[in-house]
Amino acid sequence: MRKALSISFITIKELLHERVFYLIGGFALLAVGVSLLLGDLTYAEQSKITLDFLLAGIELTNLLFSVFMGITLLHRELNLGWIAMVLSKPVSRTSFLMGKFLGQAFVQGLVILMMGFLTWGLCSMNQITIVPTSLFQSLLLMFFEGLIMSSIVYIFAVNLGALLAAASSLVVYALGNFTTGAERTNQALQQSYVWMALKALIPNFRILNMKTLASYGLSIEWNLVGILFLYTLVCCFMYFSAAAVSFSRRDIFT
Amino acid sequence: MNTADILIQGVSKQFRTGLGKSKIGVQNLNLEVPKGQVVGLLGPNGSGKSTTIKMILGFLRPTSGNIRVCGHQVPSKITRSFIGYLPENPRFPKFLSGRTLLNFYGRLLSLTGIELEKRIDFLLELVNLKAAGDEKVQGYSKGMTQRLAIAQALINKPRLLIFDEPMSGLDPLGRKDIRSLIGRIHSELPEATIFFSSHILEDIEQLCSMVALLKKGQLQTFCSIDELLKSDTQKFEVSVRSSKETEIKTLTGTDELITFLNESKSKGFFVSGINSQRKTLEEALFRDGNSPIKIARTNSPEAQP
Repeated sequence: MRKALSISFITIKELLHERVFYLIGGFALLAVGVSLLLGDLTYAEQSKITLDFLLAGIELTNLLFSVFMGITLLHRELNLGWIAMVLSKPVSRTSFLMGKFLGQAFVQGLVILMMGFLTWGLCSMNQITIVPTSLFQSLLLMFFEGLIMSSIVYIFAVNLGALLAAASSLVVYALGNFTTGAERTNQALQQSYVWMALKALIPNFRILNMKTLASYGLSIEWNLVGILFLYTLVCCFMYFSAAAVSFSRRDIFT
Repeated sequence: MNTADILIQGVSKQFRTGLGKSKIGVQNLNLEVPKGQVVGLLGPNGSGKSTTIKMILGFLRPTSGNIRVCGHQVPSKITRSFIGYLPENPRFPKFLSGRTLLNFYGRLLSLTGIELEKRIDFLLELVNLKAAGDEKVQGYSKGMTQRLAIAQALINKPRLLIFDEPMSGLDPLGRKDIRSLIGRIHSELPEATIFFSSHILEDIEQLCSMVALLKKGQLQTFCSIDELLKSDTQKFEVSVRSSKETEIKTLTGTDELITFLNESKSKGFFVSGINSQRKTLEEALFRDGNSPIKIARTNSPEAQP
């Protein structure tokens, strides 16, 4: 575990050097733009819609971070050959992957937190009431979603090229968001074994989405947050294990 | 108990290149690298040198066969704790300094604290990077990067050093630097086995005690450099003075030399000098100009550690 932590420390430095906080700058611009555009709406609408837009912005940034940073972190190691000097030491490939994952998760959490503070600041400036608990819970669930997404991205990133890995990850994200809705509109799906297998393999991102609740200032029970945290851990363990097994078996040509 | 630091037994590696297609990287390779030797792995591009090295490190899995490092089965973490590896064209994260990188690699080898700091200072001095140690790698030249890569390979005083084309892409001065550095490493770690690949005969000849020659994934030769250079035809340059002129003759083999000396004596010529000419590795390996000679000193695959 100490070796994985050493790798995660270097990964954090790498991500900070990547000027990942430009993402926050981009988000800040979006946030200011949204608040100006929606300024003409009535107070009740403005409050809800602005917060909804800002949370959707954080969610999108979080998704892009998981997919593109995850792929870049692994592919750069493999393509530039940095990995050769790490894996020639007594470090398992699983520890290497774990280090990358932990480093990415730390920076991802930091980015979400900073975007949350920006949202809070902007809403306060525009006299939009925010319920801190609901905003925090919403951000926390987005972080959980980011963790699950990153572990899924790793499965594709260790096996496929960058473009295919990104496309596959985004398809899984889309499926994870739409399985519940698809079932509601098409009852026959519930009888299909293929659909049931797909549902078992793909995480349900819908249950981690409480943007709408947060925009109305509503929060959920902390017990439920705990259960969702456990769900996140199980999903991460499952997908990360698949990525680690796959990575341990592949040839490294670098 | 086998004392070989690297034992390769019947190893083959095939790469899938497409649907139903494959390419042979290494074929039925048997090699036993004894402890404490400097062994050169020689061969043209695509001969399987890097594939062999990557299989020893566990980066590539052999299609068949068995590899052991310091008595332990590859791949395993324990084998890598004995190894210091210098990859071909090493590259480092550019945003880190040489010292930070060495610290990172040291931690991966479970080194910490003052012990690690002292080792880093020593290595930066050894590879002549003391002044540039705190600078970011971004500003390092190719030669400096290569020297930093050598330092990271030495951080745990490894029992087995594996260098993949250590002189690749360097200018003559850089190559000379690395050659002398490898010499210094050998004196710092006299017990260590150094196994390095190259396609530059001169480097192998100057540094190695043994040479293994690979061609198209197959081992052609594995023997000591001395044995290779001594074998069969030794050349002599003889200066003979007759009454009119001085002539220099090149003779091959001791039999020819003795015959010539006897003839010269009977003709009354004066032999003013005899120089024994040492063959170059190139002459020894490629006698007909193309095909490498085969010296059957490969180790038996039955040999067990």
